[in-house]
Amino acid sequence: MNDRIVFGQYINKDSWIHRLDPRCKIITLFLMMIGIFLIKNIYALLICLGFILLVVLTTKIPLHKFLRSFKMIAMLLIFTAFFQIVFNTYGEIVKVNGYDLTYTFTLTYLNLGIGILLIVLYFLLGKIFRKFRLIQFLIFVALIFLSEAFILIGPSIVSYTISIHENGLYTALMVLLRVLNLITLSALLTFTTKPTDLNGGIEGIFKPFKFMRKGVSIFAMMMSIALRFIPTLLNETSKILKAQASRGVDFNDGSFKDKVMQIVSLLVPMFVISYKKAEDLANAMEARGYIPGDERTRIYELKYHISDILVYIFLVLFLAAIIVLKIGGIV
Amino acid sequence: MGINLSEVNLAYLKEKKQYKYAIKDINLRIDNEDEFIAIVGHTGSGKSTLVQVLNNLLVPTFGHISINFRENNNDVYYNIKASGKKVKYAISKDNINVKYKARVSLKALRKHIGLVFQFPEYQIFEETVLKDIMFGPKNFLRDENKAKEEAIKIAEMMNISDLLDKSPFMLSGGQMRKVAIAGILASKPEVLVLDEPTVGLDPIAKRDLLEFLKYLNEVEHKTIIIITHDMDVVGEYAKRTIVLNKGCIMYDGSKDEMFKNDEVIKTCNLNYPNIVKILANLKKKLNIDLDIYKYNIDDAFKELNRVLGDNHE
Amino acid sequence: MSLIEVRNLYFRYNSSDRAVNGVNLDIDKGEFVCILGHNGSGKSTLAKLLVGLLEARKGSIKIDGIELNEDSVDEIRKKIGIVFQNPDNQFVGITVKDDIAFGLENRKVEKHEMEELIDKYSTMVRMNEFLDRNPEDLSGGEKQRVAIAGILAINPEIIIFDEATAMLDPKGVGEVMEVINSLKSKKTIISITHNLNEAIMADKVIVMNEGKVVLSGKPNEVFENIEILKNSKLDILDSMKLLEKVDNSNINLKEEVKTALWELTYQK
Repeated sequence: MNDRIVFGQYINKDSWIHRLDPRCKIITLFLMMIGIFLIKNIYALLICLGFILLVVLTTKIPLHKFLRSFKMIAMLLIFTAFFQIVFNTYGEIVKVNGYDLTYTFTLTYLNLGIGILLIVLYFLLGKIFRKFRLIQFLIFVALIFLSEAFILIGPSIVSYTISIHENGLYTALMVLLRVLNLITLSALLTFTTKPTDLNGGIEGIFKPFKFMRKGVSIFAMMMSIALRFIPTLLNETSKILKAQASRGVDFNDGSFKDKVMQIVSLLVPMFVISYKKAEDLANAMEARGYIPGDERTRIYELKYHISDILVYIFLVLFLAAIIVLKIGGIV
Repeated sequence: MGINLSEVNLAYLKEKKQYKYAIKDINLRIDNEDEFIAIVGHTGSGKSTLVQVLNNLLVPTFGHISINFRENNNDVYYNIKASGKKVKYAISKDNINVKYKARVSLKALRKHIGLVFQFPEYQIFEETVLKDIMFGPKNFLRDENKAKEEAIKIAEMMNISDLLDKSPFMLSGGQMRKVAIAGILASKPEVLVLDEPTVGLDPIAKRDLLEFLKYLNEVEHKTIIIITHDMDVVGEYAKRTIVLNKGCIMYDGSKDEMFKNDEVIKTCNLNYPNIVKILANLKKKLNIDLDIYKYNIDDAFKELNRVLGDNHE
Repeated sequence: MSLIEVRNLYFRYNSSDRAVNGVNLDIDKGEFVCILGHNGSGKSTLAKLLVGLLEARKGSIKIDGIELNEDSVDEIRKKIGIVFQNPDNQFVGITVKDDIAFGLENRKVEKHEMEELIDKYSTMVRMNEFLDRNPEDLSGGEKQRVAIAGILAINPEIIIFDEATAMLDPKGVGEVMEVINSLKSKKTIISITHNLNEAIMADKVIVMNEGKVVLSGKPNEVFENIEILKNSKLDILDSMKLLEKVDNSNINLKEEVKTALWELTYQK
């Protein structure tokens, strides 16, 4: 049975973004990313994010797909923000209702115990309840800090203060917003553009540059063959896995030496089969008149439509606005 | 030994809770040691899925599989019960007090039912033929010397002893396939399943391979199950045929009855073996009373002799 | 002058003992030629030499009067197309349309012209409704038909089928054979196979063994040499085997049975 292996992140919907020329999408994404890097004003970044989210809504792609792409780097973001807030000591200490945001934590023997207990609990919980691991983790971290702030019974080991500074908070927020902007933008591109179109788009962008055309056309052909053969190779891998499983390969048991052997037993056939395929394919391509780097016509000619031009106009306005505001010192 | 499948289904979830059945309501019993079974049917009729379910490489979606073999003088039963997402396994000695569990290693089952995939390239990886044949038994027996012994024995039986020190990648297609089969046989399975073993082989290598399977079946008393499209192979070698159509078993019985069953032949678009076609043609052309269901040249000639022979007059 | 002239062709791989040892061939325009041989007899090597994928050590190949060499190879590949054995490994495009277009793109055909050709030849092999399909969704027979369409689109005079049906199921074999048969008389076809059944329909049969041509001629002429066929590790047809047995027996109606079997062998 052929379970179609979906490759890439493309989500098949019909929207104006899906229909845009891939070259237009790639160029716009790239330049907007640079623009966003230049912005150093939180409000401006918020406006950008709001705008991008509005565009996201018009793609007809469910929002949770976008949320899922945040999830991958959520941990990294939280750590970055956390370290910025805790260790950045530039600027004034933030005041809320006249009180400094300064906290004292004390590690006592009791809450050391509680901390260890919580860590064990966290891992045990993972065995039962596998969802929302990130949120679980955050809750447990918060609990550890809370215990160190309020449960102060028994002899203490070490005591420390954390104060939140304006600059830290500001930088943390800015990094967060910037990354959110960038991720949403690139998700927008990969969700609405087929890998093949992306490939064609990149080739199209570099086409006017004569000196690099040869390299780009070879690269584009390589990419397109890779895209063509990834599902096939995944299929072959599962067959190899099954073939070796019927010879007693079981990844769940065996010593380290066995494991190495088991991996070799998958890699060698994989290599042999890929090599054979590559050889056959090279023959077939050559016999059909393919000459690497030679000029070719394309069945899918990229064409700009009105909507692409409108997007380009928007892009120019966007970049101009940033430059003007930058010079004015506003962002 | 016994294999028993009852109401076995395997379905893939398509979009919006639509199931696509690869195999459907399979009831199958294989408990005679000397069986030589051919599984035939269209591409996509579920043949490969069925044999992979037998070998526990694929887990059924619904149904019950019970397989038993003798291990160390005990009848050991492997049970798989599947109902939707829940699959329960059991290994028991008597099949009376069966304790089902969510997860059990059924690796031992694969030792008893050896599955040879279509292309030897999928499994061959060692630097010498000997090492490659040893790989299976080494995994199952965990004893290097014993594995080596088995490998050498099998190689002798298959007449490939002279290849043992060669690299398996330098062999011809037919030899490579033999090495792949030896690699499975070395684990001493009671049942040998082969997925289209003759595709891509030239006629001599093909005959050679099939004669070896026949020997395994008749002399070594191994149960042989082959998936094939080649009706000449079915005619000449199989004792029992199973016809799959759209994931269901459409026919299960002797090959003679299958070839006589017009409904099965037509629905599944099956061919007749060449010799049957020839005899049918002769019968028509010469208007003689031939039994056309003969599957090799000698039998066909004997039949001609019986009807037209000198001594008969 | 023949369309294909092969003179005294020699080739040897470095790593294996497979080779072509002094092959001479003449194939006329419009002929349907079958090259028979067991695996390793040098028949596929010969095919690769003909399309310039391998370079001969000695001897010459002339196609349509042009001598095959490094400079003329591009020119010659416009005249000769090849369909290989493995349907999956020769599918270059991501969709059927892409794949048929591949050869045309290489030859710098304009887009609108390409669309027309793709439409025409995909209809011819009955794959016109599958243009947007990916190769993973196609059967082996369908992929081979796409490969044939891709070759036809370039409009070569000669098409080589290098065991193009060896890896297909009976349905796929039927579909592909149907397409090949429809091309007879329109193209010069060289079919490489070890199946004698296919060879019976050919205008000319060439039997290869150990890199040499051991037999050549019309099917009935070639098939008379049963000993040579057997020595070339070919499986002679069942009807021929039966014929041999009947010939050496003393059954009644012997001549009638023999005639019937003879007719069976050649009337397919």
